[in-house]
Amino acid sequence: MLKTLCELNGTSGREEAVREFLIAHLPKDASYTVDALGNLIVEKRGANRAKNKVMLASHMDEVGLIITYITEDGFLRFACVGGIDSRALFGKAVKVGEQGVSGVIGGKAVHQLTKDEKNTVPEAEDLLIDIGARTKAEAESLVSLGDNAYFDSEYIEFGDGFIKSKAIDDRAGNLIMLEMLQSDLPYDMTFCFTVQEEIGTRGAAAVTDTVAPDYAIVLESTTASDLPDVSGYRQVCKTGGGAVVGFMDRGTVYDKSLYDLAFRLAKENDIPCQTKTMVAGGNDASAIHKAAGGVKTVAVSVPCRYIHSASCVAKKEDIDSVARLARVLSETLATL
Amino acid sequence: MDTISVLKALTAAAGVSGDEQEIADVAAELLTPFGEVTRDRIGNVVCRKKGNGRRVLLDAHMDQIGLAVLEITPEGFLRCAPCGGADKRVLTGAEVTVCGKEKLFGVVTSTPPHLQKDGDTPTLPETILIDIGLSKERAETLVHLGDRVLLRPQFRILQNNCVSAPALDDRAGLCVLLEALEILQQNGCPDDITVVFSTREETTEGGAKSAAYNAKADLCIAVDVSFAMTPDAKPQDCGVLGKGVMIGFAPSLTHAVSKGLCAAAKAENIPYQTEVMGGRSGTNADVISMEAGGCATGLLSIPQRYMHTGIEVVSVEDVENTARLLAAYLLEEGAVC
Repeated sequence: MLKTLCELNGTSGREEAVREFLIAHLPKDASYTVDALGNLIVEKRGANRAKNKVMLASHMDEVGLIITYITEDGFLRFACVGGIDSRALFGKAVKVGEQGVSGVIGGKAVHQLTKDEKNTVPEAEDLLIDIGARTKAEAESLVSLGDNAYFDSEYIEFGDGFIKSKAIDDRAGNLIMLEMLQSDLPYDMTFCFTVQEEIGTRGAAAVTDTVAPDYAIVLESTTASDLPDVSGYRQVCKTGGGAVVGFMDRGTVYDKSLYDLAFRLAKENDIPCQTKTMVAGGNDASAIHKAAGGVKTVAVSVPCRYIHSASCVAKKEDIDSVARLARVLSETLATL
Repeated sequence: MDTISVLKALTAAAGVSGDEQEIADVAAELLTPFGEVTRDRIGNVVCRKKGNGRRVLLDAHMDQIGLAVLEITPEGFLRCAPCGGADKRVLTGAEVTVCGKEKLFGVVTSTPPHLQKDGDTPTLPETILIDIGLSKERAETLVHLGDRVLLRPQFRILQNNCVSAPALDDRAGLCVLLEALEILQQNGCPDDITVVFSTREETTEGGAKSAAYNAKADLCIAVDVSFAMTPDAKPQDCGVLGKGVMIGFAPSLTHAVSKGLCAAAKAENIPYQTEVMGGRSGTNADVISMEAGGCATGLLSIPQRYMHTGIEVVSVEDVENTARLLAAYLLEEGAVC
């Protein structure tokens, strides 16, 4: 299921395929609406009425590219949708547009570079997608300006329980929510699959006012830098270290009581849990905690290496930890 | 011979310089219909079609650029050095295959942008680290220092019969020689032909040098890839993809052979371009021409975009036309220098 979700294409503003997949897999006892921005809001009744309204949120969109120009000789210029590391573009393969036309991102050969160029990261604005078209007209028959391009990156399992794919950020969060929806819940719960997170948490800003929850749990993927040559706090968090619950990032100062509660519940339930050792990243919580008159919010994330690239790497056991913590947290908040 | 399937099979096999066993096995199998296939002491795959005409050597290299493992870090990552002229720009987040006791999937690591100061331009990593998702203990049971690592083979078809894969440099050249052999076989070529799929071109050119010593040929044609134009390159340094084989002219090549190749292309109406270089050609042709007392040598290059990356691109028509020209040149009487 995670493989299928990651392989769906949906950059910010173009989340249709992900939304349709999720809707098709909703259980019969859930009701849903889609708002004007494309957010998918799903209500599910539990065995009992919840004392507090709890909203879970994960975003459907992924980082990708958007075609901005076609050159006379049939190459495509593009802009990044969301924060893609420009180092991760050169030499990668993409699928372009509705038809999924194969393309590659390249430039002149290493042999033809000056010494400086050899050690310089090519900027996205200088790069071109080559689909093999020979003329502008030929390229235009296959691709339109405004079409998206996606990393052509297979879902692969490797090593000791690792996975590699595009879009683990945040289809892992989508998967956890979908699995909760497909199970029996003790309390009523609202699930928001949001749009446009990667371009500034725009979907979450709109949907929180609609739902007006008492508590929100954001399910995310977050940067792990547990690599050789990166030591101590600079690793931020570790794959295999369990669910990541931060106290502060670049968008949110989290509610301290919920932060403490998350760690207490993790300990009581034997769920591996860690915090972030750098104030880095951000997610839908930044919009949610300030919306609808203020919402107590906590984010629970999957540690993910090489996030925002074609090759995100995460550990399956961490996704499991996030799923377990999300469940106990949501049940506790419903009756707090 | 279906060019796309042959290219796909050839680019799927591993063969980083100095560890060409897997591609050698695949290539030897494909050569079997055309003559006696042997391996020499430096690992070259050699196919001899005996004849009573000239002794001709045809060369294409089967090795590819890649990496070699230098260290297994305490965290279980593989620290690597380039083996051949790797392009550092393509490595960040690249998928690789580690040729250990078994083939392992890996990703070249990248430190996230948040570890850079605001306003810093992103820099390329100083050392190459590969994430194989294993502990040091587990990694040590599967990987040995010196094991080779290649960009993970992925084959894609683009528009206009262009294909993209790593190692098309020079597996496309192997494909040319296979297709040329087929045409020569169909037309009964009298030449005594030795085809060598050579090792170690990307590092020392040792394979071709040894093969040329053994072959003692009257004439050699090397087949490699060369630069095809991209919008950021200089036109005078490049051929054009899809516009035909590039016939090399260089001081290190035999001028009469270069002219003869052009004449054969014109006679047969095969599209071609000339590639003029000021000194050596930077291919196996340079060492072959100096070996065993010297040998008249020509160079045919298939135009290629994005050389030494995981997304090298060639045109299937260029590959097929290169094979046609090579066969036509050899079949034409009086092509001897």
